[in-house]
This record gives sequence, structure tokens and C-alpha cells, in this order.
Amino acid sequence: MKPAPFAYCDPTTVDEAVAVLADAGDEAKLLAGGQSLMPLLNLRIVRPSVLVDLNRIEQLSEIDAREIGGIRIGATVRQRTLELDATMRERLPLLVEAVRLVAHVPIRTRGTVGGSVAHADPAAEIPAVTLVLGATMHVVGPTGPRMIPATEFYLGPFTTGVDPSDLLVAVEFPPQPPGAGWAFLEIARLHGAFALVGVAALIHAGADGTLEDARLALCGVGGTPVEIEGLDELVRGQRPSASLIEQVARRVRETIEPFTDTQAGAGYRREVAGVLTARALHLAALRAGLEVAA
Amino acid sequence: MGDLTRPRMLHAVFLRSPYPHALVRGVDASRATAMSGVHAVLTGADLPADFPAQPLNHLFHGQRETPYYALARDRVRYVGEPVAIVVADSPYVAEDAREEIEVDWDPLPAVASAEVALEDGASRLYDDWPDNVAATFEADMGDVDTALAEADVVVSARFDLQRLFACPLEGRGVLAEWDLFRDELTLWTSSQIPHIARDFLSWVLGLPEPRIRVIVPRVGGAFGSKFHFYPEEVAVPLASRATGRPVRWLEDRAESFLATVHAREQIIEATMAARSDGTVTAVSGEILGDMGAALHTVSYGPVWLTSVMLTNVYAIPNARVRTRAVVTNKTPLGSYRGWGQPQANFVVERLIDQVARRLDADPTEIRRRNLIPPDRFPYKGLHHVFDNGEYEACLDRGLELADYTGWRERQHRFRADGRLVGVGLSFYVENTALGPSRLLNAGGVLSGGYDIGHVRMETNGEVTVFTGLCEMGQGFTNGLAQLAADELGVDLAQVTVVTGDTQTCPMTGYGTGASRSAAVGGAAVMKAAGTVRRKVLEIASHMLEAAAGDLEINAGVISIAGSPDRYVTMADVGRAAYLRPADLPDGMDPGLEAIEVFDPPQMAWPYGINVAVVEVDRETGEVTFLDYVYVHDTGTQLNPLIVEGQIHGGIAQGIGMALYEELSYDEDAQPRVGTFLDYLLPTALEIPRPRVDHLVTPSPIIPGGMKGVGEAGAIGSPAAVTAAIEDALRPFGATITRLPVTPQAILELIASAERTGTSTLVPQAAR
Repeated sequence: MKPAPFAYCDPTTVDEAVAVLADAGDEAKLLAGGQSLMPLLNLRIVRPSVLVDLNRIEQLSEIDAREIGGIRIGATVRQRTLELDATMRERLPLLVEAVRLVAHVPIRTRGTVGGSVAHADPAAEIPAVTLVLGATMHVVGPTGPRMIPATEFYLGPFTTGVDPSDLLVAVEFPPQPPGAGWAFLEIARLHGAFALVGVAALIHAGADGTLEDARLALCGVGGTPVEIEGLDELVRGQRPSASLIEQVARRVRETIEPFTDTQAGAGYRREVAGVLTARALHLAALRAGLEVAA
Repeated sequence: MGDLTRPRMLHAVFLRSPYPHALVRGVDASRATAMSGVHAVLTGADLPADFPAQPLNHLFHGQRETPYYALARDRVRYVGEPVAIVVADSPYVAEDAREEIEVDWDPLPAVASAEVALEDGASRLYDDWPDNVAATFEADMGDVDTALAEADVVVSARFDLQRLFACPLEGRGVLAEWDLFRDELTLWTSSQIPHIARDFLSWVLGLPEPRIRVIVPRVGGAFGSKFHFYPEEVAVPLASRATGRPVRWLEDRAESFLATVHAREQIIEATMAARSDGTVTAVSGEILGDMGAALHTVSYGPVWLTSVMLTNVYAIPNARVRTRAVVTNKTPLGSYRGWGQPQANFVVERLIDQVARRLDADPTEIRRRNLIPPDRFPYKGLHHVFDNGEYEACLDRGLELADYTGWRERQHRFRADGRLVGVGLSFYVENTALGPSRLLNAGGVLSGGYDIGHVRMETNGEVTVFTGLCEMGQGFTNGLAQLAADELGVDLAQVTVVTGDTQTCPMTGYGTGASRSAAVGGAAVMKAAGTVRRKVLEIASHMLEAAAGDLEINAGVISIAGSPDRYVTMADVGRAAYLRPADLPDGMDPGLEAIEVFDPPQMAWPYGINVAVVEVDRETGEVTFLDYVYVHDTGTQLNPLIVEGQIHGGIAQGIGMALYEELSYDEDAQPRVGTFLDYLLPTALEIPRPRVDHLVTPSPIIPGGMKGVGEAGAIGSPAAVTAAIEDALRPFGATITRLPVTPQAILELIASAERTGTSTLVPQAAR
């Protein structure tokens, strides 16, 4: 199918883009990688009167990886760029592992980190990782720039704290303590298809081999990515073991409220969420240099 | 099709019914027609009152008429049925205009499944019918009831096989150019049947055949779904005539899920009887074919073929089949690789596995005991006569290549470790080289089964082969070129194959499908090439003053055997034949071409075995392939690389059927699948690399010895994969009778078994 008629503009600065959005309000759509937007346009599910192409705004495509103080990823940085970047692989391996599971390589050469975050598909991997890593979204609107922590960013399916007159300009990840263990696992019906359930896991252990904290977020099990609260109390001071991991998995199964759709039932999602949680925690523990007792 | 343009070409889109069943009270296209850039909007109201319904190519005895037209007239019967065609300067404008068309719909109750369609008081699709049964079919062999009564083991199951479709990479497309001055129509269409299309167009449009030219460009995949004559192939020419311009329509992906024929959907209740020594004595089946809203081009042919193939490769003496083809408010059902044989294979192979389980015997031994032995050929089953077969040799080679005994040994250890690994088999035989014209015509097919090969040597000794068959990615043109090159003694590079143009290519009796291009098309080309070769030798013998019998041809050079310095080239012969007829023997006409017909005396029956090895993830239900082995005998192989490619592709589609694909509808007959988000077409990453081996027993009746191979891979694979999963789940006593087998279904089987101590997969209440 072909899109309904629209006007097109390609600003070269953030201010220009914001000005267009101020004018057009919710009649405008932002074009970054287009990997979610183009099918919606072609199927006429969305009908913006103006399409604002962000790909000529250079500052949005930069990665700023500071020595101290975290990494700021411009909104239009390509997913493929991120996964091939040596610094990303070293400093944000959880994000890289998740990005590798997004669709297929050709799609990732166009798809962007910011686009995935702003689109907020409940099944998307990157939003779940932003929760676990405590990211901050940088947004610019008519009243100027502001920051939204990931924990407050995702409001519902395809709905975020980015208003129609705003532009997401960057996603910033805070510095990560060394020695973390991490894993991202998902289940999809086909390679590259949307995840039925995905789990992002991050753990920290002390020098004595006991756990200090664990963070988990899941995609595909609700209208937004779901962070599992209160894992710290469960794991602090304990050594990783199969039974501890199973406790966490049980907590996950009890917490989430997954949905049924044409791909899978809620019961299956719940079951598999527990399975992936266990496997992800196990893998994270191994990566943190810990042994997992039987 | 997307690469073809004509000067002044316009673009068309179709308005399709959003209702599964409705009366069309009126269509108001005035706002659409008034839009800038819109050239025409045609609807069913623009068709003359006596405009013919879409013709069929198969008319089975007793089948009812399900008239449908190029554009719906006063009623629609499935979501997606074409209601209007919009012609504009661009597809963008055409789609904008489409939104402005207002239709006065009067929705009717819809039936979403064959079972609902058969209920008392069900809404009827065709008011003059007493029910929703389009056709029935029965066949009997021997005495099933006595065999059932006397059996030591009786197994039964209900099989729910899903609706899916061929989903070729290139969608359909039609480009029509109706020259109003000469009243001639040229139609480019992504099709498998240009000659049938021309025939039908002539009938429907009232235009004599010689004034219709149908051209099929290279087709980007078809798999049977384009062996159909579609409403769009009439509506687009009508639009061209109405506007006086060439008009092109390209089917987009979302449209294809509704507009291209669906396939496979059947419910089969089947029973198998056996003696305690494993001899199968009877098989019976009640088959419900869900035909969708109308009988389309090939009628219920695939469901009929399922019915008559219900004995598969086994010498089962008693058989009974009762079949009903039922109409429902869904897209019409049509052809897809295998054409009903995958379903028959599934039923028989799964029942045989159940017999083996009941008798606590190895599934290979039960099969071995019942395979038709070589000395029973030609063997008559429920309908067809199978030509020849070394079934047991094929079974042995398949088991050997798969290391079957090794896997059984390893399986014990895997189970002890808690790993769910399973091995599944399926043995198939299939119908190819369709077919003797007398049999086709007697069976209700309106076309013959012959093929015509036209071979022409040019003035410079190069060769052109013309065939009415179509290249659709299966590479058969290579095979034809090989045959001509071989027969004539020229290099392969000297041969060009021309396909798919009704103006220049000879008639194909049937079309490109039914695994007949290499066997029947090839035999016709061989025959024609042989005639040309004889004339070449006559001319050469005159030029060399030697007996034709003393000559040999190598790489385009005709020389006297034993005296290689005495020769003429193909170019010399070509020049004589066309430019210097004075050099020809007395009384010989100029020219070097031949047109020959091959009508196969019988069909050919290749066969083979699939062995699938899978591991099931106990916690997630995901299935991984550990191995896939395929051993078959398809007679002489023209091009082993192409044969293997065909096998791989068929297996991929069989895996798609077993694990992934489904075109599901809700209980209101609304389709649930609109894009690849929901239609799970397996990618290369889901498909294992099969290990393939061949036995070669040339066909006794096809010149060259070829049997067909296009569909083979798709026929036994769904059963083998399902059997492997069931075998992996053996500790849970699972029985799988519904496709596709999803990870969720697998977890439910396991959970159910753990709850109750038995496990059977139950069809979902809402499909």
C-alpha cells in the first residue's frame, strides 16, 4: 500500500525540528530509521500531514562516550553502528546483546536507538534495557530541554513522555560499576521476529562472591517494559544458586500481567518469562565470574 | 511485474470487501471519479447483465456452481473479494480515491468454518443450494467394515490441518493493454497458465483468441497459487478498455493474504486397522475440505487428490473415503505445492505411527511390512495406478543415511539426561508428469495433459527452444536447454529457451505445475530436437557425401566417425537450410525446425523418505532440528543442483506447515492475519540444511526417464517433523493431530500429560 499524502521537511538542526513540531502538533511524525514508521505509513495506519526527517541533524547521530560519566547516545544513532562499536561492547554489553536481537542486520542499518525508545513497542528490547541500566532520556520541546528517567518514561503501549511537540535527542546511560554480570535473552517465533518475551538482567556481586543487587526488566509482558521491583531484598548477601534463581523467577511470574494475542497466550508468556529469567540470571552470574550452586 | 511499464500506463488498485458475507446494495464512486488524476472506477454494476462468471478448469462430477465475477455484482462472500477497480495516474492517487468510494453494504451472517457451515440452519452462501456442500466424492476398495471388525488393532484420529498459502516472494500482478483500434488485448500476468488464461479471457471478454496475447514474464515464485485464473485478470483488461490506456495492477503484500488463493485446510477423521503382526488391512477417512467462498479454477481438486491418495505407499487392500467440499466465507481455496498430497500423507503416516505405538513396534518395521513390494507394480490404489518403485531400498538407504539406529541408541541416553530428542519418519509417493490427456479429460479437467515442444535451429547453428511452460524460479528452462543441447550435440550456451508468450510459444496442454515441466515438457522438447537432429544429419550427409549413420555430432561439429578432418559445422548446415537451399538434398524443403507433441501414456510416481530429528526445549516448547535426511527416487535427474534446490524448498514449506504458518480467521470469518507480523513464514535461519541422497530408477514411460520433483519436498515433510516432535514427547504420551505445532501447544501437551497422566492435543475452541 501507499501512504496518504503528506508534506515533507528535513531540518538540519534540533531547533528547526522543534519549530516545525510546535506548528504541526500531533499532525507531525518524526522519521528516523523508518523501520517502524514506514509500514505504519504504507498501511495508512498513521496519516501525518507532515513528515519531519531527522536524518540530516548531525548532532543526533553522535555517540559521546566520556571517560568518566557515562555514555550519551544520539537519538538517530543506528542500531548497527552501536552493535559494532568496540566501546559500546566493552562498556554497555547488555545493550549490545539486546540490540543484536532486534530484527535483522539490514533493518538495524537503518533502525535507530532513539527511534526504538520513542516508539515504545511493548515487545521492543531496547526500552527494557534502558530500565535496567537506569538510563535518562534527553528531550527537547518548545520550552527547551528536559530529562526524563527511564522509570518515568514509558507510559503505555507506544506512549512515552515525549509529547507531540517534543523531540527525543539522546539516551544517556550512567556509568556502570565494574564487574557486573549481564544477559539479555528472548523468545521469538522466528529469528528476527518480535519477541514474545524478553529479559534484561543485570547483577552486581561483592568481592566475597555474594550478590549486592539484581535488576531485571522484561519486554513483551505488558503495555510497557516491566521492571521487577524489590529484587535487592531477595538476593542481597546471598550466593547465586539454582534455588535463589528459581525464587526470582517465581517472583517474576507472580508479578507480571502478560497479555494474549495471536502469537501467544498470557499463560505461555508467564511461563516462559520465568524460564528466561532463570536462564538470564544464570548467564549473568557466570559473566560476573560467579559460580552457581546447584 | 513491477519492472514492466508501457507508454501512458495507468495504475489500478482494488476496493475489496471488508465483510465476509454481505449484499452490495449500491456503490457510489462519484467522489472518487471526480478526483484529480483518477481516470475510471469500475464496479460490478458496469458489467453487462450477461457477463460470464469466472470459468473453472476442473469440473468434477456433481459439483455445484459457485459463480463469482471479475467484480462482485450484488453480493460478496469473503473478506477481500474485489468490488471495484480504481484507475489513476499513480497507485498513490488510486488509493486516495479508493477511500472516497462509498458502498452500501447489507451484512449477512457468515460461516467461518466447514463444521459451522454444515450445521443445521447455517447461513448459506448460495441461496439455491439446500446446504453449503459444493461437492461430494466417494471411493471404495475392498471391504473396510469386515477388515475393521476383524482387526487386532484399530486406531483413529481427527486431524485438523490448517489454512495457509503459497506466499510467493513476488505477489501477483496484471498489466493489460487493450488496443481499441485493433480490438486486441495484450496481457502480462504473473501466472503459471498463460494458455488457459487466454482461453478463459476469450470466453469472458468475448474476444477471439487470436486477438489475445498473454505474456508471462519471469515469475518470482508461484508454487501453485498462480495456477489460477483470477478476477483481477479480467478487471484490469476491462479497465484498460474503459480508459483506452495500458493499466497495471500490482498485488501488495497485505492484499495477498486475502486475494491469492489459500490452501490445505481440511478436517480428516480417519481410522486404520491392522493385524497384530503389523499388517495394515484397512484405512478409511472422512474428509471435509474448507473451500472458502467459491470453487476456484481447479475446483476441489486438491481435496479429491487427498481422498484418492489415502493408501499412500502401502498395499492396504481395503479403503474407503467419504469427502465433502464445503463452502465458507473465506478466501477461495486453491493449488499449492503437493495439491492435497501432504494432507493424505500426514494422515496415513501419523496413523501408521499410532499402529506402531499400539503394537510396541518400531515405526520403520511397520512401514517395511506394508510397503508395496516391487513385484506388485503396476499397482492400483484407490484411483491411480502407480508405475514402479523400489520402496524398501529407499527406506533402507534413508535409515542408513540418517543413522536411524544410532539416533535410537542416543535417544535413550538423552532421555536419561532429561533431553527431549525425537526421530520422525514419513514415506511418500506422489503424482507427477500430469498426465495422459484421456485420463485428465475423463476426470473432469478441461485441458489436456500433453505438451508441445518447438525446437528451431537458426541460420548460424544456434538453437531456440519454445515451450508453453513458464519459468517461475524452478529453473526448468535449464533442463530443457540441456535436453535440446544433448540431443542436438551442441554446447549448452548455444541454446536459448523462450517461454510464456502465447503468441510465440506452443500450447501447453495443462500448464506449469503438477511436476510435469521436466518430464512432459522435456519429453516434447526431446522429440522435437530429435526431429531436427535427423534433418541436420541428412543435410550433413549430403554435404559430406557420407551415410547419415556414419556421422557423429560433438560440440556443434558433424563429422564422419573415424575421420574427424571431414566435417561440417552446425552453422554450415544452418546456412544451407535457410540461405542456400541449393546445397540441400534434392526434394528437401528449407528450414530446420520441428514441433512435436508428447502426451504421456501414464503419470509417473516418484517416492521417498523424510527423516527428521528434533530436540524440544522442555521449558519453552521450542523445536530445534538436529538433522534432516531425505532420500528419494525421481527417475533420471536432468540437473542434480536444481533437483536438490527443489527438495530444499519443498522441505522449507513443509516445515512452515508443520510449525509456523496459519491463516486463521475468527468466528465471524474475519481474517486475523494481515501482515508478516502474524503470518510466520520461516526464514533460512529456521530451516535445517537437509542431507539428500538419490536413487535413480528411470521412469519406464517418460522418454529420458524423468519423473517430476517440484512438489516432492513438501509432501512428506509436515508428517516427518510432526512425528519427530511427537517422538520427542513420547515420555508424555503426546499425540499431535493439529497443525501448526507451536511452542505453546507443546508446553500445553506436556502440562496436560503431567496433570492427567495422558496427553492429547485438543483443537482450540475458537480458531
